Amino acid sequence: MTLAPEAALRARRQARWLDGSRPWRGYAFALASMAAVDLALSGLFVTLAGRPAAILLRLPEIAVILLGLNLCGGWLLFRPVARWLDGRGPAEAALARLARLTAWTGWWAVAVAAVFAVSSFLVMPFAVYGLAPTPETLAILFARALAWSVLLPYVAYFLAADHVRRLRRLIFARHGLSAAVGAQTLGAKLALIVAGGALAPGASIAVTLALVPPVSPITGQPRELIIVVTLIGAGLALAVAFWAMRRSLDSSLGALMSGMAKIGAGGRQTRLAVQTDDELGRLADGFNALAAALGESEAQAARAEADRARAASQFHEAQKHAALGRMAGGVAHDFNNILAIMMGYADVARRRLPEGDANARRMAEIVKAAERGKALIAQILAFTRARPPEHARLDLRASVAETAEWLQASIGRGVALELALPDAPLWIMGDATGAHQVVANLCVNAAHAMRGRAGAVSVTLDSLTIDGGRAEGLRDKVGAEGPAVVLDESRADRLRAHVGLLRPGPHARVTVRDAGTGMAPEVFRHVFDHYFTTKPVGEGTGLGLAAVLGIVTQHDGAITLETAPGAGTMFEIFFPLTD
Amino acid sequence: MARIVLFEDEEALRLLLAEVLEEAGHDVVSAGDGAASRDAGLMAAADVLITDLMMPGCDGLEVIANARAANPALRIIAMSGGGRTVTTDFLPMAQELGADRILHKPFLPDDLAQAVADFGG
Repeated sequence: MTLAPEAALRARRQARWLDGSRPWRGYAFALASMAAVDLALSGLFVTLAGRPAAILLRLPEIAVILLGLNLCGGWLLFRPVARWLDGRGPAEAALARLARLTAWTGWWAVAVAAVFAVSSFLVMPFAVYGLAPTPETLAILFARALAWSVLLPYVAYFLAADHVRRLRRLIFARHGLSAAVGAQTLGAKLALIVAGGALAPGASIAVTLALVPPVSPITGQPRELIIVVTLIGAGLALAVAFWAMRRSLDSSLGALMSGMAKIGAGGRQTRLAVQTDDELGRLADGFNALAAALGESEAQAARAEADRARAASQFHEAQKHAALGRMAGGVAHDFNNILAIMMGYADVARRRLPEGDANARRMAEIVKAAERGKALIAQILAFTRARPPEHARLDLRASVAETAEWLQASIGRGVALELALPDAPLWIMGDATGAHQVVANLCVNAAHAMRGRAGAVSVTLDSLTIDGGRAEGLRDKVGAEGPAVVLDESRADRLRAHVGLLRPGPHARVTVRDAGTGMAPEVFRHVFDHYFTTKPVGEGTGLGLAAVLGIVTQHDGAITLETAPGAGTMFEIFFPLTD
Repeated sequence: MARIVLFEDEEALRLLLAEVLEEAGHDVVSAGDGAASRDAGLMAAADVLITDLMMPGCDGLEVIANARAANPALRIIAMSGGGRTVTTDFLPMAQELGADRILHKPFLPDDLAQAVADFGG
């Protein structure tokens, strides 16, 4: 990623600024501004008074109260935020503190300034320097204390507010987290700007003019000097307050406008940082709620549209299926006529040949081929039958037993069939032909896989209760859509497939297991596809397992398949039991 | 020996079936569609009717209805290779209408001869 030089510089600066102790440093600078302002104004005063060295007397108080005490309290206030940014504390505590940090910082600065004013304008002059408490000296010191105890926390408050605002914005950009919106108001802040920056210095100047003699009894300087310094301090404080307010308004309203432009351009994910504890922050919060509501309503519309599209596609699928069924029916009719002619002529011709003629065997092959064609057509018709078979109460135990008997007769030679049935009938809602087809198809496949190997195909019927846990697990695998085939190839020595959803409740389970050749992964992946077969031409149509899948799905059942190359295959078919 | 009427629109099959039945000693009248079933005299004179169900013009179900009306004692064999559409398999309907035997195509000619022989004609 390449950034424009300016943007890169800004990003680097922000990264450095948020790194480690820097957030605290910015906050500490805001508090330390109280010391700086006092140093600047007092320095200006003593310099104008011609006694610059007098500032040294002030330094211990500045160091102890305006730096030491101030920063200790500030550190305690800021600690939850710093700990979280260092990766040590909880985010909740940091965000809760961030939400109140500006206001609490203001009160703390007021408290520190009060202590400082008592010390500088009451304790030190009278107790340490031995000043006589006359009305004049008291008036001078009161006027100074009034201006100082307001201007110092005033500057610190607005600097801290600006810092906290940037911190909120960066934490949002970095972590996507917002502190709670605050209950402050812009009106109160404007009142504070005017009261602190104009009324308090004005009151201080008024006291000076009314009560202080033209020449200060403490310093011997004209009282105008005090007034000038107070006015300079007020100007500085107002400048800081306006600067902070302007940055706050620019940043919040700028973000709001660019956010609205992004929303208009389709960026529904646009969210704004809550930068301040006043109406601007609440505006950003409202914007976020609005954007979320808009996004949600659009997502809802998109979901509804997707549902409609899916329903339409299902309808088309059903229509296609019906059309395919009609076509298959038509083809089947014509093919059966053609097969009847082939079969009939070949059979009649065969019987007319003299005993022992080699062509008799050849004719018989034609008849056999036609028989296979007939079987294939029957299977295609069964598969494309448009109307689902009628379901009725069916004893699966009897059905499986019957199928097993039939299988013994037709495939039994060479492959043994081991049958395990439950003691009681298992009733399902189903159709007997379908159940027969499922078991027969699986057993014929198993017998094919067992050819030339020792062992038996085992068919087990039992019942079990599917609990919510297992059903939910399968639901996760299958998705809410329905009978998609889910293949699990996480273990090469145990390939597994799941089809269909299981609902919690009692189920019958037919397990067909063989110790045959198993499936290679490329066979496994297509095992339920129509017309996919591994059998030589003429032996299998590739419709067997697809038909099993169709029938089991119609019975609200499910299939799990487990196979491994060389180790055999196990199919489990689940049918919900009925009362 | 039975007098047999055979309706089958597939010519090769019709000729083959007629040949086999005649060989078995029956007297066979055959046609490529079922229009002749409206001839009540022909129907009354026959012992066995063998009819395809899907034929142009007069289809097998009409043939069976005509034949049954003209000759209640007639033995009827219906043949079909499945309906034009999967859902319209006429064989069960034919049975309902009065066919005595139904044969699913394809079948061996001997099966047909056997079915006729089973009627005892």
